[in-house]
Amino acid sequence: MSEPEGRGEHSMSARVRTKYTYEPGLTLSRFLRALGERRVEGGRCPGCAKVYVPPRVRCPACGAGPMTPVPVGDRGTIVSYTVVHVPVAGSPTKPPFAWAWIRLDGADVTFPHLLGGVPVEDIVVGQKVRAVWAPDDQLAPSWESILHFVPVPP
Amino acid sequence: MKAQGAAEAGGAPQVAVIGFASQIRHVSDGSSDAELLAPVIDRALAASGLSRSDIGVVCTASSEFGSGIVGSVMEVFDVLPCWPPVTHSHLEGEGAFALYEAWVRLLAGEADAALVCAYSRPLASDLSALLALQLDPYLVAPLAPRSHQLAALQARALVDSGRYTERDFATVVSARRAGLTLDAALAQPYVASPLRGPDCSTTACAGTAAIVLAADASASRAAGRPAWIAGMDHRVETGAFGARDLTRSASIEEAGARLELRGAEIDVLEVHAPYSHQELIVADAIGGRIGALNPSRGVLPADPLGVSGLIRIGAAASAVSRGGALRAVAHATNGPCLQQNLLCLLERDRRGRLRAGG
Repeated sequence: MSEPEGRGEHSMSARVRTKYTYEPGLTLSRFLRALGERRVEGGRCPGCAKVYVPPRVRCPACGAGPMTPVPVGDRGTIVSYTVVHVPVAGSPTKPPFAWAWIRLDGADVTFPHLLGGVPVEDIVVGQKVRAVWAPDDQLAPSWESILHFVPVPP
Repeated sequence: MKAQGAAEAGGAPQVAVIGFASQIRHVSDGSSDAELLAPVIDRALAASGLSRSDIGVVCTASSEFGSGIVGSVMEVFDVLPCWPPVTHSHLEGEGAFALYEAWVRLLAGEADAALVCAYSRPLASDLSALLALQLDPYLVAPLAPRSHQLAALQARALVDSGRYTERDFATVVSARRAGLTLDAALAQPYVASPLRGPDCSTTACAGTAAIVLAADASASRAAGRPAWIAGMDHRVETGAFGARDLTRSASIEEAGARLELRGAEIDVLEVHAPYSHQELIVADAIGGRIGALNPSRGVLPADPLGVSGLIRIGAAASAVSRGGALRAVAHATNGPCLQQNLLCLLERDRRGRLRAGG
C-alpha cells in the first residue's frame, strides 16, 4: 500500500489487514468443478425451462428453483462483441483484443468471454466459436480453465 | 402491490408481521448465502399466505465488511422476489434495522406488503478482530480491544454499581444455555473478568431470517393471526465509551418511554443480548412487568451477528401469532456495549393509534 498523499503532522496512516474465507456455494462449486474437468454444466429452470450458463440458485426471471444440472457443449455463437483498444493495468491480454457475448449451444443466456485466434477486424456476429481449454496442468475449478473462444469453420 | 390499505382506512395504515422463518447453522455445508436464504424466504412467504408477486418492497441486511465480498447482495437477488423489479433497499447492518425501514415504507403507503431478509456469515473472518477495526481509529482501535473485552468493562461497571453480581450473570446463563447449571457456569474460567466463556454468546457459522410485513388490507388476508406492530423505536448512543453510563441504556429507556412500556404488562420480552449482563441492563431499561423473558433462549446459545435482532422480532411476533401473548416486545442491538438499540412492540389487537418512535 502506498503512503497517502499529504501525510504529515495532521494525518496518520493505519494498515488494515484481514483474511476471509469465501464459499461460492453448492451450485457454483459444481459448475466450477466441471470446468476443471473440461465440462460445461448449465442449469435448467424448473419453472420456465430456460437453461442458464452459469447456473443460478434460483431463476432470476421467474423465481423458480433449484435448477436441474444439464450438460451443454463448449461450442456456441458470438451474439455481440467489443474490441478493446486501450491497455488496462493488470489485464493479461494486450490490445487490440475482443470481448464477446457468447451463447453456448443449448443455453438460453449469454456470458462474456475473450475471443482469440482471429484478427479483431474479422470478427462477425453470428460466428460459431468453441472453447480453448487450458492445458492439463493448468486446469482448475475456475472460469480461467477456458482460456478464450476461437472461431470454428462453418 | 398497489398500496390500498391507507386509502381504505382513511389514515395511516397499521402494519403487522404475518410470516417468519429463520435458520442458524453452526457448521457450514458449503452453501452460499443465496442457497441458505432461498428456503427461508419460501417458508416465511408460505406462513404469510402471500405470494412473491404480492411483495412490493424488499429490505435486506447483511455485512459485506463481515463476509468480505463487496456487493455480495448481488448474489442473493435471484432468490428475492425482485422480478418484476420492486423497491429494494440493502442495509449494511442488523436485520432488525432493515425491518424498521420496511415498516416506515409501508406506513408511507409505498406498498401493501414487504419482505425483510437478513443473512450473515460471522465466521468468514476473525470476527472479534474485524469488529475491533470498526472502533475509533485514533483513540480506541490502535489498542485493538476485542468485543469480549469491551463487554467485560461494561459488566465490571455493572458489578461495581452494586446492582448485580457475577452470580446474577450466571443465573442468566443457566436459564439460556441448556444443561448448564448456575454452579457449573460460575465454575468456568474468565474470558475477561467478570465475564466467563458461557457469558458470551456462541457465534454461529451462518444465519438467515425472513419476515413478511403487511399493511391493513393485506394483513387481513394473512394465513395466520397477524402480530400488529403497535410501535417501533430505534436510537443510537455516542461512540465515546466514557461519555456513557454503561450500566444502563439511555437509548432503551427513551425508546421504552415513547412506547409507554414502563410499568406496562409485557407478556413476552425477547432480548438481543450477546452477553449475559446485557440482558439485565435491557430488561431494567424497559422496566415493564415482564411475563416471559427470552422464551426462545435469546442469542447466548447461537448468535448469527446481524441476523439475531431480526430473529428476536420474529420470535416475539410468533409469541403473539401462535402463542398466548397479547403483547410482546422485541429488542435488537448493534455495536459495542449496546451502542444502538431498537424496540419493537407487537400486539394481538390492532390499535387505531401508533406508538411510533423517533
